[in-house]
Amino acid sequence: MSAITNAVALQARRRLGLLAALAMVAVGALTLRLWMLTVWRGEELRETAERRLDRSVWIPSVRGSILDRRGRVLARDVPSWDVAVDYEAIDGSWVRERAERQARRDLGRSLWSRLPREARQAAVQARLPAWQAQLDAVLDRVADLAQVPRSELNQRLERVRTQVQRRAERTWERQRAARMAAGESAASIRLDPIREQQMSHVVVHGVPDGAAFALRRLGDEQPGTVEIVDATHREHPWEGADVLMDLDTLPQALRRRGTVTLRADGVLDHVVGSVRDEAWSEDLVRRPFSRTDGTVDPGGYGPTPDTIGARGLESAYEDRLRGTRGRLDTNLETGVSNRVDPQPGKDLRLTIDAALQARVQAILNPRLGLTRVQPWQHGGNYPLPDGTKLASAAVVLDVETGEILALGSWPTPGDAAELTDDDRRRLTPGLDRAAQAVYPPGSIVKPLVYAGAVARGKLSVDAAIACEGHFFPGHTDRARCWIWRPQYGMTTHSAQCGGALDVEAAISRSCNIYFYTVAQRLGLEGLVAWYRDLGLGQTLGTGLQGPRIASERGEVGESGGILPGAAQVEALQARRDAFTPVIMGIGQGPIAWTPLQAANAYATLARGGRIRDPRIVQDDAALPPDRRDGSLGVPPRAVQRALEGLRQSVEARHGTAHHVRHGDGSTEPIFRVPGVRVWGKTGTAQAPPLRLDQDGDGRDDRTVGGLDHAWFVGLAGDRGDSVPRYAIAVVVEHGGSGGKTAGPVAEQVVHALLDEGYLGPDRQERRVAASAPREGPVDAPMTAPDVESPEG
Amino acid sequence: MAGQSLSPLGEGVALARRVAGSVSWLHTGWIPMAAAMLLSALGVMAIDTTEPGLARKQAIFAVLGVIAAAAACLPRTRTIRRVAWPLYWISLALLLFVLVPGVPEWLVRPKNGARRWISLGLFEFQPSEIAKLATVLAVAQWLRARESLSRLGGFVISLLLALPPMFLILIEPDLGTSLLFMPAVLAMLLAAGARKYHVVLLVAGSLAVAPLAYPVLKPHQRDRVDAMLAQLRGDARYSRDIGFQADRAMTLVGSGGLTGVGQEKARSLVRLNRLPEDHNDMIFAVICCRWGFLGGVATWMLGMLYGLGALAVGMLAREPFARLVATGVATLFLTQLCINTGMTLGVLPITGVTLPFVSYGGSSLVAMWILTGLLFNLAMRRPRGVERLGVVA
Repeated sequence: MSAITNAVALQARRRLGLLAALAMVAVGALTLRLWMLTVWRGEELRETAERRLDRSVWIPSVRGSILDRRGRVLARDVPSWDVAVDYEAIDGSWVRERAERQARRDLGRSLWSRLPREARQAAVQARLPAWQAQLDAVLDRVADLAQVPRSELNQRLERVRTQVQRRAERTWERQRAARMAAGESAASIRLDPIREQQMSHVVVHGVPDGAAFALRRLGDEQPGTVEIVDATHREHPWEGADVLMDLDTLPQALRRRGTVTLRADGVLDHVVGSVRDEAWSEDLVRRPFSRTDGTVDPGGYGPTPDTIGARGLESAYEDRLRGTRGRLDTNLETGVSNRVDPQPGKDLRLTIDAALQARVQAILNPRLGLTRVQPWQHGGNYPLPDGTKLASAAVVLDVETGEILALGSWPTPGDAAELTDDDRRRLTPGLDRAAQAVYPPGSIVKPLVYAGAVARGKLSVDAAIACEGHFFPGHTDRARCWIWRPQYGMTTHSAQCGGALDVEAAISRSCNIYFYTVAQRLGLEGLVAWYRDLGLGQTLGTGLQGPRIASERGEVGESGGILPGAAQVEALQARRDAFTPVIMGIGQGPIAWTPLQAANAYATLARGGRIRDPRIVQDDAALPPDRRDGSLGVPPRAVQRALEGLRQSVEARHGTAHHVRHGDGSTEPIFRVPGVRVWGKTGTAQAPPLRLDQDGDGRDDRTVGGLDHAWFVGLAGDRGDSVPRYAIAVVVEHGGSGGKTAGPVAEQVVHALLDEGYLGPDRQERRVAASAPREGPVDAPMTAPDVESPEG
Repeated sequence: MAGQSLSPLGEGVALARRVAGSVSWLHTGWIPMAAAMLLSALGVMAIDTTEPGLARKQAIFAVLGVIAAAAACLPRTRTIRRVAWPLYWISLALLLFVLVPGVPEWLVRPKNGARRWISLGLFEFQPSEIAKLATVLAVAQWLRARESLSRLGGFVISLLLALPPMFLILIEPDLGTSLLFMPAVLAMLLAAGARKYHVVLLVAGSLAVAPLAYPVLKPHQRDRVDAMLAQLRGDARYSRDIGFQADRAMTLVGSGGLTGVGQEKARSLVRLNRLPEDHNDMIFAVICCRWGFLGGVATWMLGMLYGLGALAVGMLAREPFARLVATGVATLFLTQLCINTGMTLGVLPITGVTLPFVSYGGSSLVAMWILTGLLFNLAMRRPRGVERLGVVA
């Protein structure tokens, strides 16, 4: 070999040696990396890989039921079948794809690949109608089995399509913007279909078993169209009830022979509430399914479909009613599965009697006639026209235990459909007036004020006070007694009674002067403190707000009402306002309470001052731990005399709750329930002016003044009972006279108590059925004085 | 030689004697051959873990490969040298052909959006495999005559020879295969005597320039770089989408531990972890899962056996052409080995390069066997006469 080639060869050999060394270094480094993965992190990676062999499926749990005091089911989970349609069947891709597939098959692979685009399109187009017909046949069958009109089904499908399309466009906008911001050119961006375009969507909830199985078979025969989804839905059996009403117990003007069946809708809507099937962000924050530390809370809220309380007790007792999910772990390799059973939620038993509640709702419905503006309720010059529907509320408490037997409010959301737009705006069906609407108490407070003054030692039990017609000497225009008016002949109660009044006379005649005096003696601070002791100005931990303690409750579910706070009392005292403290003694001024608070105050009085705040749940553990306790120290003599005053109010001729006077001078007693004694007080509380939107343009254009809220609050028991058994509070918004409007309503509530066996010897049960809503015309409303034929 | 008319049998015997006289049977070419056998067997076993049907096919192709290798042993070195340039141009033509639009799909079947394959009824082949062989031969042919490459001219032209096939392969698109050309050509330059300084400069320059290529990459290629970088940092955010393949590959590699989990378990793990390309690109992950760290090391040992054996063929070659071809083949193999195992282990972005001899793929297997046969061929030649002097003939 020549010297040069020799040298080159030697050099080459050295260099090849170098390459060999380089290769060994590279492989050495890779070996190190392999060591790290297999030995150092081997355990961890092996676990990760093994974990993918396990498939976990979460098993939904059952939500606790809500029951009434007699065990009737008010809310429960019911397994059901939902019908879901594939998105591809909704937006037309199902038909197109199958047509295309068939065209390819028919024409053959080689021919297909040779055809230009237009010819291919034509071939597909020709096959579209046949496939569309097949899809239509499927949807017809769905409509038929699910008992939904085909047009309705089409509407639902179209709604799904537009929603998903809109969401897709929004998502793609965002993605496109993000990708272009990252530097990609618009032409090269290809976006994937969103999740909703690849899944099926529920269009019919709750089909019966037979239909579900038939539809499942249909779905198997035509894959990609329809499927049956195993779902649970929340049933509220007492959503609506048909109540048989006795027409011959009604006031004369409405009285008829026989009975009528009234439909009460939303009987327990306000109390029990409702659920929603989507978790909101506040749920995900409060109790997430996937916790931040990586663990999983089986009872937590996740983005998957769920049942969550939205309003009412379903929401207030969400944590109790909610169960925890179970889990099914399957090892895909061995096929072994391990199941953890789901834990159902705890039931919630209420103190409410659903049948009694249904009756109360029927009574409060203007269709019966008591809560419409009626000529006999007013003197003829009422600012609202006859026949106007009025909102109202009624509460029934058990005196001994504080249990809430009925918490009625009209209208409920279930009634909203029947109302005109104007009425709906004025009557606010979403508001639970029994526990959440506040009204000035008016004369209702009088016996309570007396009891308070005696209990606090500011008044003697036998105090007798004269009624001069006006309270402040020298001021004849303010703080007057209600009969010191022109229409009553400017008389005074002292004139009527021949001297000073004792408390029975003052209560039964509802003398203002007596109670201005008592309030003055008790003093502003003392009066406010007494009201607070009776439960005003605070929420009472009834359970309507769940088990939360006072500081966490707020005002949703139950309202605390209005009572001056320390600062306001000081301000009033500093101003040397003599008027306000005094009128607070007759329930006007800066105080307002809910019907629930009213019933509770009277129940407390009936208990002799022992505090037993109302409760809506039976389980003590479900109540807030910080409920009030104790006794207000009312002397028994004072309780007796106050009750006597309330008795006379109803039973004595001179009592304000005794009778209703008609325009023609005739009278009829308000309470005519045999075997039952009623102690009660009427109240006519000045209402703030009512703003109306007369012309429906969205702005209030008319203000109606001179309206009063009609109150009746009282106690009921069997004749022969020394202590009343039940406290009843009724308020009719803008109803005018307490006696004339609220009184008859309360009387019907007493009848309801009798009918449900709470009073009197057990009477023949009146049927109350929970049934499906009827189609067809609503019962004709009853208004006096037309005589209408009895319902057939 | 004086032409004596002999009978066909006599002709044949004379040929055989001539051939036999010109080859030796004890040479380094056996090393790559043995390594190729063992690697092919490893490949069949590894593919069998998850795809027994494909394993059978791979075995058949291996046999075909050995036959092709034997055929590659027949031509004399001179013949091979003469074929080098024509083959180079033919391979370029085929590469162009694959890219031309309008070619019917029965001839050029797109796979995963890439136009790389020519199908001729019974079998299909990739022009890029032919291009690898042809480029190595052409560059070797070009370089063997250059005594000294101190001038940049000769240096640059060799690079220029590699660029057209690289480019054509890159736009198929097949980034991974195109990356194999440069290292092979550079190694051949080194072996041919180019100044180390020049080579180092070139390498350093390309490494410096490489990050600038990032914006030119296609989106999915960029995604892969992003995913790899994120993985190395320990950031798992891409592990569900663009980093999915790498993430699953590494998990499976790691789960093999020291000695692997065995066939049954490996089958379940690979399948249920949904490893993509589990029989071709990611076959190394299957090997490490089934045979563990030791399995991976064994693969590298066999690979090094092949690569170092090929380099040994080059080192002991008496004439430059053989040396250069051996260097080219060795570098092609070793680069492919390192890129494939590197991407499986997560130190390189996913590039779609397979593991030679082991990954499923008839045409690549046969192509590799042909290269092996070529090595064997070059190694077994006893240099005759003037050729022994390494002078141009």
